[in-house]
Amino acid sequence: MPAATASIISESRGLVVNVTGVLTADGVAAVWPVLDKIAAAAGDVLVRAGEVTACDSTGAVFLRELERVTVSGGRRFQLDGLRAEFARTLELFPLDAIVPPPPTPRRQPGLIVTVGEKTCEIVADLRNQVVFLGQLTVALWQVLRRPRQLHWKKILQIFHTAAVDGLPIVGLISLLTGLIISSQSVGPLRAYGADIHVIYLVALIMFRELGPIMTAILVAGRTGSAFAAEIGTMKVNEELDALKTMGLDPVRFLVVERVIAGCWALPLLTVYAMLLGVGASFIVMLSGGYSLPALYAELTDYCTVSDVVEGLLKACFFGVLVTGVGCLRGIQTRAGAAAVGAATTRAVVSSIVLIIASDCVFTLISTTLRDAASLPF
Amino acid sequence: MPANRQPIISVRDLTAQYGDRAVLEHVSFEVRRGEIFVILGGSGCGKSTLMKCLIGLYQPAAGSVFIDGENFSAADADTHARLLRKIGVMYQSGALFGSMTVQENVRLPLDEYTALPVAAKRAVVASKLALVGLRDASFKLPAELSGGMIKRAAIARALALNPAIVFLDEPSAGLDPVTSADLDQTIIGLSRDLGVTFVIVTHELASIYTLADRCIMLDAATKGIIASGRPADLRDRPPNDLVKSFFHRQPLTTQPGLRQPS
Repeated sequence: MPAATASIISESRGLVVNVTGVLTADGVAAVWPVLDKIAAAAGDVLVRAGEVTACDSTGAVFLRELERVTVSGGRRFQLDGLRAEFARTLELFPLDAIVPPPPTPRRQPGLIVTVGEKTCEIVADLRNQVVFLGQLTVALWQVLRRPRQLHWKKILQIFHTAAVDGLPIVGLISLLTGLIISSQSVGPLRAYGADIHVIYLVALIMFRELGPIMTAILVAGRTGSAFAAEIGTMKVNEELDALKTMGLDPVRFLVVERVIAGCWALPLLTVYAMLLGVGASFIVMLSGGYSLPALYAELTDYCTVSDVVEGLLKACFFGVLVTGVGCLRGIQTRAGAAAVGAATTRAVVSSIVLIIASDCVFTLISTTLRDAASLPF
Repeated sequence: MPANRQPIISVRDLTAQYGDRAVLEHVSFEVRRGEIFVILGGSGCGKSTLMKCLIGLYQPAAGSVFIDGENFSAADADTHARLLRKIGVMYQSGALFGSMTVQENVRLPLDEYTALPVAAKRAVVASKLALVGLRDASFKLPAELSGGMIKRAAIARALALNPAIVFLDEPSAGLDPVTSADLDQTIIGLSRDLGVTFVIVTHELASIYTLADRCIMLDAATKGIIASGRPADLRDRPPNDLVKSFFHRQPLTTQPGLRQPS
């Protein structure tokens, strides 16, 4: 049994609509289809509402909609028998109040405009990055001249969060990567009788490339995104504006300490990743029957300190890059909760793209230098 | 406001605490159907905690909250959900969903709780927005609205399911006096025309005098109600110094280090 009913009786003068029951949301949902029938029919409409036992604002909207459908077809509308208290509710909703306003047309730009806008956005973003790099350099220079300005306790806290708390995940990923590369490469190299060189292969990859890259990507996901969210929330809460009005430079106050912490955290984490990656290859080879002295000799004969130094230089650069980009995206946050999420995503994506792109440049430079010095590999 | 109306909210011997720290102790009062009831008091006196208990966001340590005769604080899941449909809440910040337009925000409860056809929902949303004077802002995002418009949109969303009680948390906070007075008139109009019961947490004196049929005043030291009645009566005949200092905007004590005006 529906909460409300609406029946139509055709008479010579037009339509008589008997509305009964409880005209609240549930009742209105049951009787709303009658509007289509009234719109499709001809003749004036008389609504008998004497048996309506309850009518809230949703019910009032339904009765007004009955009226609107009728009069919009040039017909006459009459409401009969509605109780006085319900009639007062109906008076609150004039006919024009229930008509939704037309949607505001949203501009749909064409392809050329979209490409142009995106290009401008990318150029503006690059410009912002250059400006930010300049501001960061100036702030770092000022801090180096007056190291007492730095909050070393805060730097240690950030370092702890970025490096110490990151040890488990960086360790696990490095160990597994070392195991996977060793296990996959030992077979093909054995075909040439060179399976002992797995140690050299894994060490080279971990020292020069995967150690710094993997660690940087993990730090971008853990720490860079956290910086973007933290500073982004501060921006939304007008805390950055408060800093500015107090005469404090947000870059010096919020970014420098994070960048310094990241600049130390990433090389140390990278050393840890290198050790575990190479250690995993040792485990694989030891399980294959090789002796520890033979494996150690393989490592020291072929790998040089310069391989480790190259990886650490990259790690330092990635440390500045990941923390700097995280902070920049936080500072660029716009209004609203969604903007903080967008800033976090942009921080991680930008960091990963810049890590891989800058690693390509590093590799090209180091390869060229090795060729010029006639060094092997 | 007739004094003989039946209570729609009954708070009996309510105690609320965070951990071991009690914020409210043995608080009892009633809100009558159709009245505008104001909860006031200084910062940290437990106004927001009391409101959270009333709207079911916080479980009191002891005591009960009855909504329309049913025990809200000890209700099973079905009763709790049914009673929630009788209340609408406007939060201090508005708490509009930033990714939705104004009309989508107001429509959300209708989508979730009613079987109304799409055209009916559109008409109902238009009518609610017309009630609060926001018809022209239907397709705007919350970020494009002023502070007053956000509060109006939040009231329209709170009214979407025609609740019997609407809770307003600091409706005047952050608004200029003209917008605040305008909002007060909207609330009075909605109470008078729709018969909605309003429970308002505020400490804006101008709003209290304009809006409140009755009010209670909480105090952090006693962790309970220190005064109740009509605002004008409390102002003219304050029962204690705290109430007097609140309604007459007078400091309770002379603070050391601050020079007194000559």
